[in-house]
Amino acid sequence: MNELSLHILDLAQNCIDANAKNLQIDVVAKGETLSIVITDDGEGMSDEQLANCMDEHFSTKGSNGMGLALFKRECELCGGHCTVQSSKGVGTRVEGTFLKINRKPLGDLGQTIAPLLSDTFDCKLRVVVDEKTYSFDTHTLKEHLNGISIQSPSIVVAVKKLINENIYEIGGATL
Amino acid sequence: MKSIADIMAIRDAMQSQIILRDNANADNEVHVIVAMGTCGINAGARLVFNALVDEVETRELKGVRITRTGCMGKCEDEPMVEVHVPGQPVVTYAHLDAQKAVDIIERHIVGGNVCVEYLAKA
Repeated sequence: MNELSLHILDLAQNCIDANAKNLQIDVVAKGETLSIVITDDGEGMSDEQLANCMDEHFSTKGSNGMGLALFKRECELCGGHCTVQSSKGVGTRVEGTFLKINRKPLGDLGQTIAPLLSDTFDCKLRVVVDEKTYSFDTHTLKEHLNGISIQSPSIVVAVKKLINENIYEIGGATL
Repeated sequence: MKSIADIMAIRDAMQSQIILRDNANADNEVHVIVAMGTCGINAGARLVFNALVDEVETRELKGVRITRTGCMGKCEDEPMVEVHVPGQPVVTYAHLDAQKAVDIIERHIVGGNVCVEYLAKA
């Protein structure tokens, strides 16, 4: 994966598989470091699952179990680290930190959020670039859509544009 | 900072069409599902998803829904997409990219002809 935002999309798939109804994606760029935090209110993991979740090929869903392992490797390759907290029945929080000097670019968050716009769960995005913050929240948007699906292609395209323009405005275009 | 006002304008434009479509029959919707497991994402599924959405929007196609799902179980054939047209067998495409996604909208969804060269091998 050549952009960190692809890892965000990949980890979001884990949240969806855990039947989360709310996903929160925080991208915080301060000085030389970037942190990505993905929090969900899904099923959470048992202590045993939590202990193994970052191992390659560990999976509870019959997949190859590479997503979190790849994210962890990405963090560690650029001097950062990855931590996972989870409680059964409460949810999961994955945090990765990256040092700016040798990390991959964050990439296109608009294109990353597009597949995460869903009628069945909500997604919050918060991007912080030094002192400036941009927040996007599907719950608020849905309240204004008067029953039109947030997954309608016209809405999805408009949301992508909105997110990328606002990230550009707070200085996040080159993250 | 841009607000969601632009999206509200789109909503207003859509609302009359939505009523027409709902009355026509929601079951007539074409559904395109993009596999977005780790394998799919790594192979370019995000570009495929966005190309599909952009093309449907540009052509102002009504009654076409693009959604994501997890791994479809054939990681080596990603990016993969399923096309569900009501009353027709499900068509599965493999090894897609953004241009092939646009072709699928043009030739399959609009033109009604399956893109044989992109079909997933059984």
